[in-house]
Amino acid sequence: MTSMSSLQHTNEQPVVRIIDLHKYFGSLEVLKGVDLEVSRGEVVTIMGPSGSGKSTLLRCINLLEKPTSGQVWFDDICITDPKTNINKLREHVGMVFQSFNLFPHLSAKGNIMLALKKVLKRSQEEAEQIALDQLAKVGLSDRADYRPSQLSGGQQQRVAIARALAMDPQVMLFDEATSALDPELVRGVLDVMRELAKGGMTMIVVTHEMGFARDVADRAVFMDEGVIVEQGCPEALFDNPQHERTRDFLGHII
Amino acid sequence: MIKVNKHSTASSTIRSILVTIAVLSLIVCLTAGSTQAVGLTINKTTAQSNQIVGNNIIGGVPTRITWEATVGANETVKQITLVFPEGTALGEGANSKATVLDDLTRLDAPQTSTISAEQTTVTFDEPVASGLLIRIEMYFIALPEASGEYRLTGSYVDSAGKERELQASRAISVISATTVDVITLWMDDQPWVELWNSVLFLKVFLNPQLIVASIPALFLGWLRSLLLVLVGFPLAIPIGLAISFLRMSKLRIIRFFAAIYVNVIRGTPLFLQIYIAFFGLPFLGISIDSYILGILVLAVNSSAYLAEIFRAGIQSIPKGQFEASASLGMHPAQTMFHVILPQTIRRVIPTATSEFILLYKDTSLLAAVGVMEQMMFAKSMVASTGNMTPYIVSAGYYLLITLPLTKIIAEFEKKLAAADDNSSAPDDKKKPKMSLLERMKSIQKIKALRNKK
Amino acid sequence: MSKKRSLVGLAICLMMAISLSLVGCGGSSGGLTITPGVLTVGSDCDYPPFIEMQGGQPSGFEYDLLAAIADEMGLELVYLEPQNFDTLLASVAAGTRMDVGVSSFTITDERKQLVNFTIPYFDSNQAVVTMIDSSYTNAMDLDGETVGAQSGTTGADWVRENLGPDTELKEFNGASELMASLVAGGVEGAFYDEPTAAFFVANTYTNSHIVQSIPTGEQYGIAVAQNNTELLNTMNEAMIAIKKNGVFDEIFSRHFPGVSPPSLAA
Repeated sequence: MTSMSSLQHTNEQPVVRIIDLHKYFGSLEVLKGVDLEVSRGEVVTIMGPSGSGKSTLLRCINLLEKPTSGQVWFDDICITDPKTNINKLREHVGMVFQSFNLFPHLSAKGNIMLALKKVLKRSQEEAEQIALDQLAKVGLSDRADYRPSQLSGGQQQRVAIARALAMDPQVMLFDEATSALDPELVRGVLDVMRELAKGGMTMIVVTHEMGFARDVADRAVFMDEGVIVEQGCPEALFDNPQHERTRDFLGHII
Repeated sequence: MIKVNKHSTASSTIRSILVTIAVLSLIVCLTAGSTQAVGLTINKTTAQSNQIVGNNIIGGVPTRITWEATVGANETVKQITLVFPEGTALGEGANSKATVLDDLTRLDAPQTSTISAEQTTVTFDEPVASGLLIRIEMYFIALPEASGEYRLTGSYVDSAGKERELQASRAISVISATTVDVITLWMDDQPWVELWNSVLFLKVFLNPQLIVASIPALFLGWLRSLLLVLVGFPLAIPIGLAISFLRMSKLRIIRFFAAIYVNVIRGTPLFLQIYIAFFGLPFLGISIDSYILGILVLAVNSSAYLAEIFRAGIQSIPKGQFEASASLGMHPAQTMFHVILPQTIRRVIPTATSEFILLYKDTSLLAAVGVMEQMMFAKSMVASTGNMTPYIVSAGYYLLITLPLTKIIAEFEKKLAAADDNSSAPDDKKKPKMSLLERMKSIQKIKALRNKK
Repeated sequence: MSKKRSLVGLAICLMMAISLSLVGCGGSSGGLTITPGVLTVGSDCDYPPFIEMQGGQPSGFEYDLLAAIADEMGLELVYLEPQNFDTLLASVAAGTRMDVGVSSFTITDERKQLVNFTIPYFDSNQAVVTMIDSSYTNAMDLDGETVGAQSGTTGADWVRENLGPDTELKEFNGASELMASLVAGGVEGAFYDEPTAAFFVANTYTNSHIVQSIPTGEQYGIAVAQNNTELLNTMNEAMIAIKKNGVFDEIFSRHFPGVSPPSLAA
């Protein structure tokens, strides 16, 4: 998938680099100077109480939120530079949302094909082939022609993942991808994410799923009140948190 | 003559006088004969259309005939007789009367008149002097049933009692009754129709003959109204869409002007806009065919309403849809056309259809400025019959479109509501819905279990 | 079939019963006028110099005439808000909203089928108005063109009867709209009563002119509901009375100086 040279390149330099990121909503400071680096192939989970700024941080990476100050680098492109073509960059950064955000007027297949055709200018046949391949990967080959309203929440989220993956992204962002799902449907989605991690995808995952973080993540990040409080390998962070706030949060959740 | 033989000297003088008189009278006779046109010049002979629909004269149905002539120089007219064509009949209340005019001044002209199926005779108390205009109006005369060209002939009598032939009048074209005429004429004789029409309200609003006559008569008007809205509304859609985009523009100044457009148009009556367009534009040197101008005014008016409908529709699409398409690298225009609008259309169909119905009904306002549409057809019939029934039939024609559309909207909204209910997982539906609290609890429980291992 | 017919019959009976009761309620049961002591008048109020709205009040020859008649009859004069000309006679015939219709109505036998008319109070003619810069010289020049008239008027009738089938007749609610359309180029010629045409071209639409006056010798009468012959007779008497005492001639001469007043004979 990646050539030798680019692999070497990434070994030297993180694929995503966030430097002193600040974000205000009006007068409310949601991010208070965040620094984070993610290497190629790394799976990072971000945890924290609601309002800690973890979702905002994720959304700043593909500029769904515009940072107030600070820099976000993708490889050697500064995406916070106004001159950067953000649409071009977004092709390489896939995102999965808490509320799935499938296009309700299109079938599962149509959801995947739309951007392939309009953004990557793939032909109808190519796009269809890619869509079917991706649906097969998330175990939904038999649902290709279903409308989102005819799918369960878990199925919808798997289609959403397939849709993001179809664009062949270099980084995947997951924004509480399982939070809106009924408990019995969570597993299927997590399985897909697990597979993805195993395949070497760079992933930044905002989640409350400790099990997933423990099993899959290379690094866990704990955020509170707009700053990264603590980070490290998941076992260390969960079993032996250094900060009071981290302990509080983990105590609440478990 | 007898005296001539007795006085021979005188006789020669008398003879020469007589000869002169004879020659003179011959000349007078000849000139009178050749210049009958000078004696009484017929200006026109017309008949009023007696068709409820159309502008023709039907045979066998009472009409009003107008005959007009000018009295020539040195002529006076004491009596006029007009002979009707063979086969003429009189309607109820048939009569004739003459009006005498000196240029534009109506003169008192006491008269007696008689009328029969063969002819009418008007006798003036005082002879009508030369240079005056005589108009004879004959009311409720049924010309022959067979179609053809009919002329009035006749004669007049001058103040000296001399009777002279009239020139034949210009022909009146008569057509035979159409199917609708035949039906309404048949209805005229039905006792139940008579009974029905004996009630003033029913006669004026639900006149059976006029119902029958209006249906075909208004059909063309119905088509023209429909065409107005069928062209005007689709034209309003792109304009309205463009305005709705401007209304959501990032630039304050563009938003401002779009808001002015929408608010001015929605804040003023369509009736006023029609008046301004039809009577104001020509002063700016803009001249557009009135039917096309009608379409344009409707389109502009509707575009403002549609702009708000579209804006509301677009803004009701969840933010997540914009974000999802943006995260896939689609630029705003692609997002709009491939993601947002297809969803918006479904949502706005009911309100947009209501707007269509409103606009369709509003085409009637164009009647006020002389655009030929359904209301105008009805109005014209009402005006010529003095009866309101065509308006009632017109209402029926409007309902022909509006009722089914209203029903369709209701069905569509039902379907839309059902689809929205369905948007959760199908297998969710089988079990009773959990309350939010129950849901939260069960999530916590499962999470706890999972994390405890 | 027979069942259907009896149903239809029942419906008809029901309808007639309802409308009869409606008529019964609304009618001027017995009194001279609908509101005792008041003469209620309907008019389109857009036909100077006969009637027009000035400062929210009707004014003109007809208004003054009606005021004099009402005065003579000992009634208070009330004008309704401006009515549509083409439906005014039907309103008079219904006999529930107004006692009389006064809107420069030419007396015709067709109209007499719907309403009664008083003795005529004005002699009128038709006129054809065109723009001064147009090339038309008489009414027949407009044969085959787009022409306008006020809906329900004798002017509209004249066009239908005398101009050929290729002529397109547009009908307007009021004389003002008709003239506005002429000036705007919507119609090539306007056909309506000569006195009003003369007033408009002299005062309001000075870039138009009368190309031809058509002698029709029509006469205006006041329309009264057919079931109220008492009012008709009383009005006729009042009109003759004000003619005799000089009031009518005084009003007439004030509005039409130099024109000899009509005789007010039936």
